[in-house]
Amino acid sequence: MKIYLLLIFLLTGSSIYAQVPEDAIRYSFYPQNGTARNMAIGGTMGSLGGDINATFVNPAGLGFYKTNEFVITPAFSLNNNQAKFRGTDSENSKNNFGFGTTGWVFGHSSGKNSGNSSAFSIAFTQTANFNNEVRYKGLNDISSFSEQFAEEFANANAKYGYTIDDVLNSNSPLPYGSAPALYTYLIDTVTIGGNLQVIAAPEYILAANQALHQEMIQKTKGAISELAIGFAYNSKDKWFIGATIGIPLVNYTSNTVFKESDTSSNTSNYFKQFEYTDNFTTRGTGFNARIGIIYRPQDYIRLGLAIHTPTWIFLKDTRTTYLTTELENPVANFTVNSQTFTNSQPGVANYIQSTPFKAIISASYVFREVKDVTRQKGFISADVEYVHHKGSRFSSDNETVTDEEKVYYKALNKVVKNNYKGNLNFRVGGELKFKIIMARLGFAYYSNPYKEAELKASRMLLSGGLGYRNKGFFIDLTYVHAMNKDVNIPYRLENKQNTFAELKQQRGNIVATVGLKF
Amino acid sequence: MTSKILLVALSVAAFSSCSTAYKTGQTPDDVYYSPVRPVAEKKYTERQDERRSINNDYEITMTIRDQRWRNFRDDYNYDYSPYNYATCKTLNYGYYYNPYYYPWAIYTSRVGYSAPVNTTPRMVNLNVYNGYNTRVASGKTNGTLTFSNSASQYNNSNRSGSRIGNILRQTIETMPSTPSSNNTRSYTPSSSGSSGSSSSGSGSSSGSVSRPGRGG
Repeated sequence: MKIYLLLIFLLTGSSIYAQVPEDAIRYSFYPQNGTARNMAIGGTMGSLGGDINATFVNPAGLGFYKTNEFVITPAFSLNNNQAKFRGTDSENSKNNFGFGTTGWVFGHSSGKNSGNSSAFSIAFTQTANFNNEVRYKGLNDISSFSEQFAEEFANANAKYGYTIDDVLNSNSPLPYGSAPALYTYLIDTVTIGGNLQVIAAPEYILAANQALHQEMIQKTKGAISELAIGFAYNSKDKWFIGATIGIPLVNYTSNTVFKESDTSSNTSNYFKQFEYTDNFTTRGTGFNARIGIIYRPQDYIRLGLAIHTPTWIFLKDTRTTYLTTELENPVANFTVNSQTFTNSQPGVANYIQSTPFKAIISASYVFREVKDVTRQKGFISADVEYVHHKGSRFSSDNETVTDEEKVYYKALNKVVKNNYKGNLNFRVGGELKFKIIMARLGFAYYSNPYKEAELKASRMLLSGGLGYRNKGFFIDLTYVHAMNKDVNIPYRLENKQNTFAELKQQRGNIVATVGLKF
Repeated sequence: MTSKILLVALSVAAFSSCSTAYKTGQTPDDVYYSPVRPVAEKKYTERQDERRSINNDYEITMTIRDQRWRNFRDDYNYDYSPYNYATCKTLNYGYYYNPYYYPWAIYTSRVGYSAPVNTTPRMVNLNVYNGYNTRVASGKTNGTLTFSNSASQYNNSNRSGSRIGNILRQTIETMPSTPSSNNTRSYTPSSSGSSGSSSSGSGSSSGSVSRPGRGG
C-alpha cells in the first residue's frame, strides 16, 4: 500500500495536501484603502457616495455622479513593528510606497429635469499592502522549531509508511521540511527505551532543561491590487443602485528566516544551531462582485446597504526552502535546499481560495445638499461592516482531484471554520467644508478574527486630512495612523504547548489624491 | 514596482489628455451635489474624435501605398511570411503550416523529457489546530460532538525562572541528556529493509537522494 501511494505521488506529481489555514486571514483581515478623502473619514463609504472609492465599497454611491472625474492616489507608509516573544521585545521599521484608488468616473444625466442619471467607473486600487518586516527573538525551553519536521515525518511514516529513503527522493512527498531536516540530520531516528523514534537534534538541549535561542525574521512584499468596473443608476435622486465587477491580482512574496541555537557552552550535546529559510511567492487572479443600494428618505439623509461576494482567486505558489544545520559530537555542518527534493526546480502548487463575504450597512447626514458650493457645510457618515472570516474556503485547482485531496481540503476548511469567526468592523468620519477648503477626521476599528481568546488581533485607525477643490481641480492630503495588534505563530506542534509572538504595529500612512473634473 | 510605474505613466497620460470644463465658475463636489455637465466639454471631445479620425485616414492611405505601414499598429506582429504563416512573435502557438513543404502542422516547440514539477504545497499538520483533533472529544452539546485539543493550549513562558539564571545553569551542564522516551513520534522502517539508521547514505530506488555521512 505504501509503495502504491508513493508511486502515485512520484508518477503523477499530484498534490495530496493543500495550503495552510493562516492563508485564509491574509486575504481578508486588512483595513480599507481608498482615496485620500475617503481614508481621511475612516474609509466610510457605505452610504455617502460621490467618491470613486464607492466602486470598492458600495457601488450605488457612484449614482451621485453626474459629472466626470479622474483621480490618482499615491501613498507612502511608515511601519514601526514591535514584537514580544517569550518575554523578549524586538523592534524594527519598514517604509514603502503604495497607492490608493485611481481611475475614472463618467456621470451621465438623463435630462436636466428628469432627476435620473447613471454613472460608470473604471478604478484600480491596492486593497491590501503586504510590504512589511517582522522580527522577534527569545529563549524557549519548551519546544523547538525543528520538532514540526519530526512530527511531519513521523506522521507520514505512520500514515503512509514513508521511510527515510522515500522522503529523501528527488521528487519527495515532504520536500520542504522533513526532507531537508533528514538530509542535514536536524531530525533523525534514534532508539530510546527500546523504540525507534524520530527525534530533532535540539530536543537534546530541551531534555537537559536548557533553553534554545530562537529568532525569526519575516520579510513580506506585494499587494492585492484590484481593477474594477462599476455602474450605478440614480432614480429621482431617491434610490441609487449599483454593482461592481472586480478583478483582484494577488502578488505575495514571503522570505522567512528562522534561526535556532544552543545557548550553552556544552559542546557535547549534539546540537549547535540551524538556519531555515522559506521563500515562497503566491500569485494569482480572481474575480468578485459587489452590489449596493442607497436610499435618500429625505434631503440630507442617506442610508446604504452593500454586499460583497467572496473573491474567488486562482493561486499558484512557488516555493524553495534552505536549511543549514551545525551539529556537535561529532562536529558536522550540512546545507541543502528543497530543490534537491523537487527535481532541481522550485516546487509549484495550484489551488483556488475563496475569501469571506462582507455586508455593510451605513448612514450619512449631509449638511446642505445644494448646488452652490459656498453653501455646502459638511457631512458625517458611519459604516458597520460584517466580515465572515470563517467562510474562507480552499479547493484544488488540479485537473484530477484525488480522494485524499478531497479529504484534506474538507479538513482544512473545517479548521478555518473552527479557528476564525465573523467579526464586526466600524468606520465613522466627517468633513467640514469652508467653500473651497475642507477639513476631515475619521476613525475605524477592525475587530479580532481569531476564535481563540488567547490570540488578540485588531486594527484601529485614526485619520485626518485637508482638501482643496477649485478651478476644476482638487487635491486631498491625508494622514492615517494605524495601531495594529496581531499574533505570529512561528510553528505549531501536536503534543506540546505552542508559543506565539505578540505583534504591535504603528503604521503611518500618508496619502494624496489629485483629481480633475471634466 | 512595474505596476506602480505603469500606473504613474497612465496617470500622467490621463492628466495630460484631459482638460477641465470647470476652469471658471464653481467646481462641483459630487458628495454634496452633482450638477449636469456643461455642454462645452462635449465639443472638446468631438474635436478630439475628429483629430483621431483624420490620423486614422492618413494611416490607411499610407498602408495602401507602402506595406511597411501595415505593421505600424499591429499588436500581434505577424511576420507575413507565405511559408510560415499562423505564427506571430507575441502569440506563438508552437506550430505553423507550410502547405508547400508539408501538408500538416509543423511543431516548433522542443519536444523532450522534462522532470515533473513537484506540486507539494505549503502544508501543516492540521491536528495541531483547534477543533480538528478528533481524537480528543470533550463532550456532546445539542447533538454535536465538540472537541478539545491540548495542542491548542499556548504557553509563552519558559519553565525555568529568570533568563540570567537559566543561561548560567545551561553553562554548568556538560553531559548530553536523552529526550523523553514517551514521545509519540515512533518510526517503523520499511519491511523491504530500509534501515532508517542515522548513517543512511544509500538510495535503492531511482531518484533517491543520498545523505552525506554523519561524520565522527
